[in-house]
Amino acid sequence: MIKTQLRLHPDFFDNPVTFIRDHDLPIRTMKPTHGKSVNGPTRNLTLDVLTYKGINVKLVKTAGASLAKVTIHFNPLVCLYGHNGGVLSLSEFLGALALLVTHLKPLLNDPDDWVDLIPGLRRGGFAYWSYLEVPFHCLDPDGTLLAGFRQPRHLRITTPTRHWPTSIQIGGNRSKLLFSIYQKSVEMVAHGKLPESSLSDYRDVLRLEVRMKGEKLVHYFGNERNVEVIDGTKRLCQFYPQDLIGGHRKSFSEIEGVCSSTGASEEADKIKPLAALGRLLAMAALGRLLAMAALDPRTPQTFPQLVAHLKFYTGASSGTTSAIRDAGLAELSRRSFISLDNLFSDEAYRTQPESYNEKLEKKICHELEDLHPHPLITAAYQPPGQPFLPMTQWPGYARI
Amino acid sequence: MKHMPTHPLPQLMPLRSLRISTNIRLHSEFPEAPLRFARQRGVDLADDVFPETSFKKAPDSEDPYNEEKTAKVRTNIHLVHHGAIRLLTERDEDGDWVRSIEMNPSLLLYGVKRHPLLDSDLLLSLTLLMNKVTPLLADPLDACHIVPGLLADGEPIAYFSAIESEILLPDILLPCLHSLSHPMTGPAEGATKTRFQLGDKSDHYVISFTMPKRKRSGPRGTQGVRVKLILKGHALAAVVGRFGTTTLVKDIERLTAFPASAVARAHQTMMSRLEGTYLPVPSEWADRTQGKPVTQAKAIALVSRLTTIPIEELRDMDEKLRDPSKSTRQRLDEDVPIEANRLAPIPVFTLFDSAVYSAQEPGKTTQAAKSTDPQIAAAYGQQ
Repeated sequence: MIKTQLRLHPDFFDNPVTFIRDHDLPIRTMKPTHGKSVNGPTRNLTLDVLTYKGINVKLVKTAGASLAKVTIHFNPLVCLYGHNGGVLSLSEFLGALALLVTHLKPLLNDPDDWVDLIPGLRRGGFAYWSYLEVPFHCLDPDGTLLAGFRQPRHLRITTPTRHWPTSIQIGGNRSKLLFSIYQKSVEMVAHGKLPESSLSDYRDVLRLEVRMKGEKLVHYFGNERNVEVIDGTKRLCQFYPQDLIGGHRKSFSEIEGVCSSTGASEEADKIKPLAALGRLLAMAALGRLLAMAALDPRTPQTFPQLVAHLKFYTGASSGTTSAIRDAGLAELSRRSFISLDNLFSDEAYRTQPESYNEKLEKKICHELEDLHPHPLITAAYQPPGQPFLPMTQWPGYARI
Repeated sequence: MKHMPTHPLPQLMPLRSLRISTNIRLHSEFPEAPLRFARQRGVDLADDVFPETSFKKAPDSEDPYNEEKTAKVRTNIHLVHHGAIRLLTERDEDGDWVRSIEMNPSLLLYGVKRHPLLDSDLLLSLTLLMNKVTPLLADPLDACHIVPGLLADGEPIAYFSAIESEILLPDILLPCLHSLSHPMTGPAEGATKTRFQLGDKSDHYVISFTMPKRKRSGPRGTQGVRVKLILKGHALAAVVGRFGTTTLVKDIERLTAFPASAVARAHQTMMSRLEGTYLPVPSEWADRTQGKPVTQAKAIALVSRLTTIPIEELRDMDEKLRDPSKSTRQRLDEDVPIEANRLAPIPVFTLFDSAVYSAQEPGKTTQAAKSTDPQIAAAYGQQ
């Protein structure tokens, strides 16, 4: 998601329906509303750009202001193919940004302002990335990886993990950091992006996605090259593929109780009672989970849930609960078969499996070679010193 | 048409909201100046009216860029209070048509989301709904298509397409509910700290258990768990239809009228098939002054109840983990059965006895609709 400020064409706000018709803009829906801001009443417009989704724009204009505040929800793969079951390459990302500019430029009062549509193109500009979803695909044919992620605890997340048969959500819907782990093809079928008959072809594709906003973007993806201060706040203004991979890997590495560790367990005669209890809960949760994984991916009680129940029923203090939880998480890590290094290796990021919907893709039909990203876009998002490779050769990295 | 049976009416009517599908034309002057038109007709709009325009491409076009810019306009119109009455309209070449109506009787009659409702409130709210919507219509004779079940002759148009009912289980704690499931929805999924839901929001049967929100200031919020049942489409005819009237609308059996008592009956009928357990906190455990809060015996007993892992299996795990002393073993031998007996689960459906459907004190209607429309009273089983 991009946040920016733009000078819009005056006719557009005054009569958007006529403007859209006259300029033959690819707008699917348009809804004007009124609102309030600290600076007075506002006129708002929400636009679904492209008939097959991919770009949604919210415009808020205060009376008398020359600039409108703009929020752009941008999904590059949906822009290009109508679905996001694939893995985005750099050339596709640049092409999708070019598409974004093509479709939103006609709304501007001065076409030269297009550089404010995309963060990182103009120093001192208003545009920045306010939300990113960074996915990673891997194969999980027997569901054991998904099952392994049912026991997690993240350092920065206190909201209990939510579980569905084919998905897990770590973090609350409104939180600045959220992990969503799910069978992508199942979600695509549910949203009409994949025919049910294709489900068996892609059922083994597991998506490990991190969603971030606000300062979390700066924390995980930011560096001295891509962060600027806008209105007094540090903002992510640009990124290279390696920035996203690094942030994705780092955020997942902070999840406890999922990936294996080599820590030695205490000897039976030296273990403290609360640590023993934590390990017992971990073994109970894990044993039940693995036994059920093949038959029913839904787990009746995960380790964090057992700890929460123990705290609720007994009134255990936070200190007691922490001691139990820490020992249990360590036990889970010792027993885990998931290797962080293998799961998130460079090779794994390079060779991610994808889900296709050929019929839908043919209908959208953008030829990448026809999308010419402006040199400013290429300069901002293509790492210097790296040759521009065709999409089939470039490692996929992220959906934004 | 199948006629409804008559039953004595219980006091509490746990109706939260209802949705009516219909197809009636709005007055042509309304879209031009909604606020002015509504004011002239004595109807309060809760908000400005913001139409959403969809640009449709030609149906035979495969190319998303080769589009006919046909605009389709949809509007939500809120009457009285935001959420009290909501009309969803769609525009075609003949005008703006009300396709569906949503009503929250509590908001409509009392101005608050959750006010205890009397049986008579159903008739009052339907009467008020008809009185508020009729002045906005192109043809006042179409008023018989606002509230379902009023049409004496001809093809019916209006029917109930969704009903939400909700009761409060007082003094019940959400974390004590376990392994909830229902034959019509499957198990609860995606639970949060404050909410369990059975069925997806797009399903025809949805049951949710929610912890009431605590107020930030002032006295603590309502204690207990709210249990909401949402019935849509065929589920509505199947469940509420047993206590009300169903009619064929465009060859599909639809719910077209129901007595107020049907809401509680449908709720209770559905909850009687709920699976799962309610495991209260043992009084001995709740008394924090007695002994250690967390013991191995309590933990083993609790984990066994929650996971269905036999106690013996958990004891074996414990033995392997820490090699307990003889005295510890003896203590566990004695204490674990005691703690296990203290944990006494009960089936969840037993929480829904008749008392919870009549436990609340209804208030008094503050709205203008003090009398019910005789046509509505006749159709909905009260005179």
